[in-house]
Amino acid sequence: MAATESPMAEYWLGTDPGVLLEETARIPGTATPVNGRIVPSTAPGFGMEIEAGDISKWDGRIG
Amino acid sequence: MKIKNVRCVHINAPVVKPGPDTRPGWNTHAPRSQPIARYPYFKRVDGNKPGSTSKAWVQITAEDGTYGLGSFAHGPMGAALIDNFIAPLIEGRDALATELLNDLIWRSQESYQGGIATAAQSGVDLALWDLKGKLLGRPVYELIGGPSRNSVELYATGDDLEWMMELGFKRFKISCPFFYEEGSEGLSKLEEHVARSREIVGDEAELMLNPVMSFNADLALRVAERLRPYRLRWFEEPLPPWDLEGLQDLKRAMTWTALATGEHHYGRKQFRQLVAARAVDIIQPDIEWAGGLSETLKIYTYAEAAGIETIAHMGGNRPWGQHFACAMPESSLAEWFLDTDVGQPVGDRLMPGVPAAINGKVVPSDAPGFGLEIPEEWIVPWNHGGQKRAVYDAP
Repeated sequence: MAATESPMAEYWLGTDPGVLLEETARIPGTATPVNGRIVPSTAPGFGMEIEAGDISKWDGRIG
Repeated sequence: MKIKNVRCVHINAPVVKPGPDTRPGWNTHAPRSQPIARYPYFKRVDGNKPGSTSKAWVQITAEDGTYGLGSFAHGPMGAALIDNFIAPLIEGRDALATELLNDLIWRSQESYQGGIATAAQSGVDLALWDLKGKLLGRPVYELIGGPSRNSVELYATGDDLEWMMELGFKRFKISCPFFYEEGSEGLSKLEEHVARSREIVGDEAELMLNPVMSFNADLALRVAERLRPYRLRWFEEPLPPWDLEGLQDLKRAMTWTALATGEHHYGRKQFRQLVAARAVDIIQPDIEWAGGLSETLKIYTYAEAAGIETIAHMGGNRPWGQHFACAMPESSLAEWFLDTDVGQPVGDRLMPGVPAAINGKVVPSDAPGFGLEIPEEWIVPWNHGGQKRAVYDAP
């Protein structure tokens, strides 16, 4: 969005055929592609809307 | 927030006259060698040499009336570019989109970028960063990732060494009066000048020499060998910017002194070659010439990745240089060019809001933007005529 020599980005399709992109698990507040394009959030920072209650201390799990 | 207006301006600042207890500083009389010195009938005092130009300022106003200011070199030529070509290109666009705006300017100037055009772009970019800081209410050094340090360490440029020491400076860069056609007699005079300077500043102080492109590669090495006993911290811009192979040869041979250059390189593409060729130890982009703060940050990144330090030319006297050095970890030093007389306060020639050096250090303003406090009544339109303003397709 900001860097002029970065005209394209990868959207990794991790869902099954037929599943709407807006129904896939993603970070709350981040945008969903529409017709092959994406418009980043204009909210402060990266625009993530993760609730404080959903954030917990890393428990050291690997994998 | 859209850009409402871009215009080149003159800052009608009152001149502060030195007091009665002062004497003319080195900058008014010390002969300095530069490429034009081949022709001995031109005076070598800075400001009088052929080609000397004055700076100009750019004022960029957003649709809410907030404005930013930036200055650039070669004002009379760059002013026509800004008012007639750059202004119609970026007016009406997002004032915060510095990457886009710079890319538009670079691409519009593909047939004449570098030199005067890049200096003009520098002023526009600096005004955009000042505006961005004011709109967001933050000092520019925060917007670019700083602060990395509480104050910026300075070295002083000039030949009034006793006065510079009295001011608290501990690092010094002296002038070079010797041009390459003056032979062994000139070289001996230069050695006397350097020896005397080393004696004044003492063994421990850092001492640098700036021949300003006055040598060729062969002579530069012979000068460096002759001056080896005086332990120069760096040897600055002995060759013209286009002599990349000469710089490479000199750097490989001159193992006892660092090689610095860059104030006459324009834009990241020229610096990329300099860094990739390992032709220099320290790079010195001039933020008012090389493309502005946006471009200097990219130049810095090339250098930092190669383990090369960036010390901006004239960085300490200017707000953009102060903010840059405050923010960037691998820019641990800035230049303070002593343009005031001996005995005169060093801040007398600064614009309001720009902090002065104190004991060899400077603390950038923490006010929004670059912290300039220039009264509005000092800002007057640039006076030029003849060239018509371009009309472009709408954004």
